[in-house]
Amino acid sequence: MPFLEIDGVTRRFLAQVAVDGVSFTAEKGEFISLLGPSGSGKTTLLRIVAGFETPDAGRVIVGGDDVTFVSAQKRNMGMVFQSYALFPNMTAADNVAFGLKTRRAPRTEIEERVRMLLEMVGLEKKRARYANQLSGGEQQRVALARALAPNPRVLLLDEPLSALDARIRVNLRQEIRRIQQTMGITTLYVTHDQEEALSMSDRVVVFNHGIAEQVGTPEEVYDYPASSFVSDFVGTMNHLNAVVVDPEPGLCRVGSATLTVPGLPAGVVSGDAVTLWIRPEGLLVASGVKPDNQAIPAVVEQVIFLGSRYGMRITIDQKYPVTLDIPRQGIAVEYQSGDPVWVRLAAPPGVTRVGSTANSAP
Amino acid sequence: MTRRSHRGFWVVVFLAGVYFLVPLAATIQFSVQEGPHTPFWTAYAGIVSNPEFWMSLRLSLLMAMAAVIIGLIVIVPAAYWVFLRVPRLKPWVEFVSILPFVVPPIVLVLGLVRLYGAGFGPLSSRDTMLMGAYGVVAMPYLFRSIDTGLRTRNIKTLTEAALGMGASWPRVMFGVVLPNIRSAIMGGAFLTFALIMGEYAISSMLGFNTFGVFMLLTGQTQAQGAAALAVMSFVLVWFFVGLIQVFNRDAVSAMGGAR
Ligand SMILES: Nc1ncnc2c1ncn2[C@@H]1O[C@H](COP(=O)(O)OP(=O)(O)OP(=O)(O)O)[C@@H](O)[C@H]1O
Ligand SMILES: [Mg+2]
Repeated sequence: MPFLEIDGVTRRFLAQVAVDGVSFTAEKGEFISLLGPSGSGKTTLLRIVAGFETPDAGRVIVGGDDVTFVSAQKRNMGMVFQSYALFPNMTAADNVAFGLKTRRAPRTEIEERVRMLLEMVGLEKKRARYANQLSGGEQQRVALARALAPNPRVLLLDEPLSALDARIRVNLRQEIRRIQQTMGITTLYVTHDQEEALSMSDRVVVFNHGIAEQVGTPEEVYDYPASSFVSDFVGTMNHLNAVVVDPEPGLCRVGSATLTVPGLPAGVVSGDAVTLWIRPEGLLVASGVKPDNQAIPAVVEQVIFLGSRYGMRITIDQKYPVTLDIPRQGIAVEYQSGDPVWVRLAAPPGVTRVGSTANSAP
Repeated sequence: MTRRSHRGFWVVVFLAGVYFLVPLAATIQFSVQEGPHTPFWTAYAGIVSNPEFWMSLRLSLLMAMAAVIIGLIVIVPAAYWVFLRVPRLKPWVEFVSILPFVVPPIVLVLGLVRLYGAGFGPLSSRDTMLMGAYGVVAMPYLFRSIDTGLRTRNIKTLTEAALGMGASWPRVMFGVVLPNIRSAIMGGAFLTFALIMGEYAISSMLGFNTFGVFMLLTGQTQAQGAAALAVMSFVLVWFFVGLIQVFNRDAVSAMGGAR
């Protein structure tokens, strides 16, 4: 039985539906990211789980108890806010102790636990500092320790890293994950950063306009996006129009080239228009003579240096823009804008059937 | 900033300084202008030795304190609740809170006397009426400064953080909200205090000899005494303003600087 159950939760604000019938479950100790663009309802759902909002429909169940209408004070959830929200009138240690004091834990126990948590987030030396004497990253660590102190049933984090700079963000990401795994605490993590969601989570819930479009492991969400929204929001996705020439060996025409596409959906017939979904790393590029009959002619538009790799934009048949990645193996790429190149599929693409009008595409 | 605009700035400061300081200097000068055979502090000595002065000062101090306390007890929870739970009512509360500015004192007093004039036991005593009226006068100032404090100190999120950790409402209020809006409360309280120390209309209509009334009466009978009194009340007000600064600084350094 799942530990946390979100069951058909809906929340409206006036005419707007902020969260629209969202359902998913989390096992004990699971780390789940709520990923979605701004305004997609992630914070609203998190606040419903925390008890700061009441849903118009649906239930929130924790450890078998229906807590939908239980007040925030009685839910025992640990919340980390985007703005840190440390109490400015208290030291770091007093902030961490706050939740323990409300539980009237014995004094020695409070001291011991505060010390343990501050040590875990690496701030034992700064325990006597006030919030504004700490950097953003340090404040967020204290906020994490504070949320964890009363041993909450679920840890809720609302874009905890979005106010920090890139380097600290990556460090703290790993640190949060490490602490979460050590404590084995069930966690909901709101973010609009797909890289963050993919790298930290056991599973990802992708939000769009209040709807959970897909729930799955990072690999599932990336490799088998359930909708075109998910495919575009999580990573980059090229959509390439093609026309089925012969479904039996999987022959498709893309621009002026004809290639073999494995895994055409069942039931397509000759002349059907299909869309090939291809990740940037799913394409290989070559220059010079046509390497084989699977190669598609294209022209380089732009080459962008990205540190560990190059990003390249090309157009197929002067019409279809495609983005691809070239890993960097100690050499600079020799491609320049305007160069003619050949691209071919490195992995089987996703394919969806669009229609049957043979003359509409490619 | 360019040199030129700097110069403009100083010109304005100078003119404003002249506008405020010249009358003040003249008042001070007048208050110590005595005949050749009397010491320059005669006017001051006359006031300080007048028992009426001390009685009116004491009355005004007590009333001002009562007004601040009444105002705080009503306004702090009200402002917090509106801010947190029913923000859409804020325009209405704001409207009600500025009513004391709009309603002339005579209307306020007449209303109070008519309604509570007799038959309400302790509520019908003049002292209670004066306290109540002052409490009402205090509200706009208190509401404004407390509302600003609530907004700028991110009190909504702090409240949620505390509730999420299981804190009771009293603990949220006394452990989190009040300490973090302390300087806002102090600011509003001192402002009200200074205002009520000089209040004249309401107290005279209710027949009290408050500090404001005493000042006016003195002005009608002794010119120099009035000047001396003006200087003294000026010093008193600056004393309070100084106190605000000290309190704010303390509050700020206790939290390690404003955020
Ligand atoms: N208290 C509220 N009153 C009215 N509308 C609200 C309220 N809270 C949220 N909304 C609306 O609900 C929608 C979802 O908001 P929510 O804050 O959950 O988005 P989000 O996914 O967290 O976005 P972001 O990434 O920008 O934080 C938004 O369109 C927002 O305008
Ligand atoms: Mg949000």
